[in-house]
Amino acid sequence: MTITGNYYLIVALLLFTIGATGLLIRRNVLVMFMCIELMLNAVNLTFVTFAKMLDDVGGQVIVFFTLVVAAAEVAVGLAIIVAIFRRRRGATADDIDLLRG
Amino acid sequence: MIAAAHLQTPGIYWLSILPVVVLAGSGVAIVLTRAIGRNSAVVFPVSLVIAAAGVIGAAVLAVFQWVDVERNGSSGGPYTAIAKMVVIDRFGIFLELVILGATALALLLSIAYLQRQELPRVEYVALLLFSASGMLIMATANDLIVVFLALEILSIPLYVLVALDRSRLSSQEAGIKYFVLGSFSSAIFLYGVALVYGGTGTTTLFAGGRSIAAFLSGNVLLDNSTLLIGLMLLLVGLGFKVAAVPFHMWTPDVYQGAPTPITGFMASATKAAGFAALLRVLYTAFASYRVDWAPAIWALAVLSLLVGSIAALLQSDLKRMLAYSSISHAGYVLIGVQAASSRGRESALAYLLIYAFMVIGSFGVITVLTGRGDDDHTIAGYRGLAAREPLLAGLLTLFLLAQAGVPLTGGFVAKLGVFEAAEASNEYALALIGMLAAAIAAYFYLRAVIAFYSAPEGAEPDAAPARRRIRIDPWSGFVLLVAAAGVLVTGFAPELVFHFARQATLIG
Repeated sequence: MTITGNYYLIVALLLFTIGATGLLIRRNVLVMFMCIELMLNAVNLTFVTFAKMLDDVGGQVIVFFTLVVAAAEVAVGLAIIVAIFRRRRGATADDIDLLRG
Repeated sequence: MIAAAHLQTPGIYWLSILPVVVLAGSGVAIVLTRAIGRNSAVVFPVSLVIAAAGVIGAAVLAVFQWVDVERNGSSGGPYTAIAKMVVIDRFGIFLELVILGATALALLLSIAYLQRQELPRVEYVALLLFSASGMLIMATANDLIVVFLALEILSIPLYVLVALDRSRLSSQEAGIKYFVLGSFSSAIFLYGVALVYGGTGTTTLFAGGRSIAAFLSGNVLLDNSTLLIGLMLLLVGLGFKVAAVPFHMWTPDVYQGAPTPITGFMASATKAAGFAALLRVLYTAFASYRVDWAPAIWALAVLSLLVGSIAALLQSDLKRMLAYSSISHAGYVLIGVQAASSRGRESALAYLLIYAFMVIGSFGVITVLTGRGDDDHTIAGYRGLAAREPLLAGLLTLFLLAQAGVPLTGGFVAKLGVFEAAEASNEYALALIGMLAAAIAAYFYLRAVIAFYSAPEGAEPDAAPARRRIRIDPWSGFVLLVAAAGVLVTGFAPELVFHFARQATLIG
């Protein structure tokens, strides 16, 4: 059996779906954070696969941009998480419920 | 091994990105000033001067580009630069100027506010400039990857700005909610980019040769499902940024919890940047796919209009009510987008410009009214405002009435523009739903205005109003003056706005 590009695309789709579902159902902010990373990396896999299928280097270059953006997001996101959980115990999203209506 | 000499690097036409370079450069200069000057008292005034130089410099360059693009010697019209990553057309420059104006007003509004709330002032100014430079990139991006990078450059500083007030839990809560949902929407947008790339083999939006627009007009796809799913995911990502229903869940919480000048900045500039990308992607790259995206935009517009206006009715917090009203305003702009005509583009641009005045004015008055702490904005608390602060109450009334679309204000002109565009494209149902939403919206704006002019709860009727006048600092006063003038001038002389909006054409 030859592994064609479509297999990679399906794996990427599954990873992306796992990430998106996890973000929506998990209550721990750090886990939600990891789910976002999972989604971004699933997209990276999609880009690389398409780049290979289309024989175009552009898609592989885009991955570098995504990695940089993901790193910047991690830095800022963790800083916000640390700032907020210095004032309260635990990292559960359900406790963050001051704003509603 | 690849020899470096064989790599073709793109030529960089610096004028095309100079406004962004100047604005981002002034942000970097402020960070350096902070590092060198440490806690010296002059750092903040110096950073304000640098920020002013950056914003004014970028605006002057943008005006120069506006004039230059039509008498461009080589191409004589809109052009792309830097390996087609950037496009210079009057559409982008128009929105750049709206964004720069909103940035300037938000900065001026913040000066006294930062002092009052004891926020980290220098960092605040730098972050605001970085965010604004991301928005400028967004307005002139001609590649989906550049749009994505711009989206992140504008969002990441905004996450920090929203969460900046560490004395208020509501600010931090808003920050983390914005962060999680914003990153989620960025990831969805990026997946959309990947699928569009897979479907067309390129991420360039519009250019001769290799681009999405050229590919779609030159080829008939037998199976375009990958492309269509990608396009819809792009719409989801951008829908988040412009706060269109059903991607609006973050808006009320974030608008309520963020420092008030930042709320004004987000409602005006971020919305303009989001719509810049939305209009450009739909009108240039996917112009030939109108039958596929127009129904989606139709649904987004109707949902935003109805959910925004009806949910605003139920709010007891003024900032939250304005957040829902900003969702319904996104619906009006979407009416213009849906028209898919030059009329639609014009009316959307005019709407974004006029809305910037109205919303910065509204949040400007609220900013001036906040004392220490920024949490108490219940509409009940605003009762009797007119007796205490006749001038501020009058201004807030003007801005709210303008948002409701009362004739002789800019809001009326803006709404009329999008309805006319919808009618010209035979979208009568959409125009009717828009008018219905405007009627519902009038109710909640008027309810707030009536609260300003009624006696506070529990006050004795004869008691003289407690005259504890708020001193309006000169910078905020200037902002309110500009916003009020903008709302009234555009209301009396709409041709002024539409004259420029008509000239603000897209490339192609």
